[in-house]
Amino acid sequence: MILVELETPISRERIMGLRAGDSISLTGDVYTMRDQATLRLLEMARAGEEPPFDLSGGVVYHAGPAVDDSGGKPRVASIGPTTSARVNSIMPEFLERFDVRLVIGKGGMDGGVLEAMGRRGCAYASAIGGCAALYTCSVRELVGITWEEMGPEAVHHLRVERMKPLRVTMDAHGGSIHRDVEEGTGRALVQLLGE
Amino acid sequence: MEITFEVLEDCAAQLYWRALRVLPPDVEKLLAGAREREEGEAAGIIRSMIENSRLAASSGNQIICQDTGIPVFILEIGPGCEMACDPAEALASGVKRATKKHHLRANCVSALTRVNTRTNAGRGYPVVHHFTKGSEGARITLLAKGSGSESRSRLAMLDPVKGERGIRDFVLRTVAEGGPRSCPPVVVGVGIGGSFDTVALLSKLALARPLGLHSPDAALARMEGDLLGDMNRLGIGPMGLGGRTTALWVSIESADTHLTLNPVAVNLSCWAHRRASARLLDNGFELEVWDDTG
Repeated sequence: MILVELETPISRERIMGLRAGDSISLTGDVYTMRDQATLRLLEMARAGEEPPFDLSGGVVYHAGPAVDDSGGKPRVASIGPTTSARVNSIMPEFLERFDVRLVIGKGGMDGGVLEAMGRRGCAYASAIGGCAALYTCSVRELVGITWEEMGPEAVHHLRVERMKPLRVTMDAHGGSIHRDVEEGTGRALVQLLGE
Repeated sequence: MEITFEVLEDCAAQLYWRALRVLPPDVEKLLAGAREREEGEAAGIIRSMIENSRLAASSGNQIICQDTGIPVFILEIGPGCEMACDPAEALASGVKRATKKHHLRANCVSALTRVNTRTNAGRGYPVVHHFTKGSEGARITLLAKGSGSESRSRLAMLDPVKGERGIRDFVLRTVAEGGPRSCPPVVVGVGIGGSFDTVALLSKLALARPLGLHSPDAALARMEGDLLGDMNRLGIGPMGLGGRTTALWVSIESADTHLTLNPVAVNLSCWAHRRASARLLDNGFELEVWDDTG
């Protein structure tokens, strides 16, 4: 098994070099985004407004952290991936409008997103759901929060160091472990229901 | 024995914090078994799950999953226990206290406006199920119920002619459709029978049972075993990335039903099947430490 060390900003070439199944470790800047923030950013772009942060060559992390702001500088108390499929319908347009190189989440995304990733040079990495203790340890700094009033739905700009375990499960060449597993499950279910 | 606001509040706060930090030993034992059965990446994912849980349990300030779930309390009150407060209010107060003290993520929002209460408490939240029981004493169980798996849970009012076969097919279909989003390997609580409302409750109570122990009802025990075997042929695997372990355990609870009805509820729980319980005592409580036989 190869462990690919990635650092932000990530070049298109680095992403094109990744294949579904590769394990990665990530260092640099990531932006957390859930459904509401993804939509809000998209609506800004549609209205021709500049986004409040630069996502070029960047990483979007589908996550809603808990923040400890009880004293001094706010810090991430706990963070882990959330379900990416909730933004399947808006992600292709999002990837067209923002030059994002890597999306991190859990559960994968659909064929429309896979196709957009191929066109734009973007990959999807799966983090393990429920492993907040492991992922929280890799957060070095909470750089800033945009739209703080949205609570866990706000955009958290984080600096991470050697964030892992992460595994590429959708690549920019049309490879998707999620699609392969889902097809296998569909066949197994048909067989089980027919027994 | 008098059950006071202060005792219930304190008990709720401690149960919540414990459930979020310490994966019950019965869950870890089943994960360890899955790690042995799996190979390659699937085994690696299970290893990470176990490593994460041990880190949370030992660190003192890290929790297993940032989704602190929807807290579901199950109160069992025996004869001679007198409730000297509104238990829902006391339990909510304990959850609020733990949320503030440990900087837990606030998940409770209005169902319509989606406005967050910022406290993990609100109208009918946390969930409280209140039962009387025949034996002495009082007990509280808390499920910190993960939302990803809760949202993939399903209920069906099947036709009676579909019988047990219809129930089995519906359960398998629900697990298959839950896919990666329910954070497998899942624990599956199944309710069978009763009415529309009780079948859902039965499935939740099934999730509160110790893992590794089948139903005392022989027919249900056989069904639990068969369903687990079938689920693990679906190939979904840890986190839905493929493998032999899609489910860790299946528990079924059943009630008799009307002759026109065949209700089934499938409550999925993520691998981080977090729960804790306590026995209430005079002026206090004692957290229960589960061994791996339940």
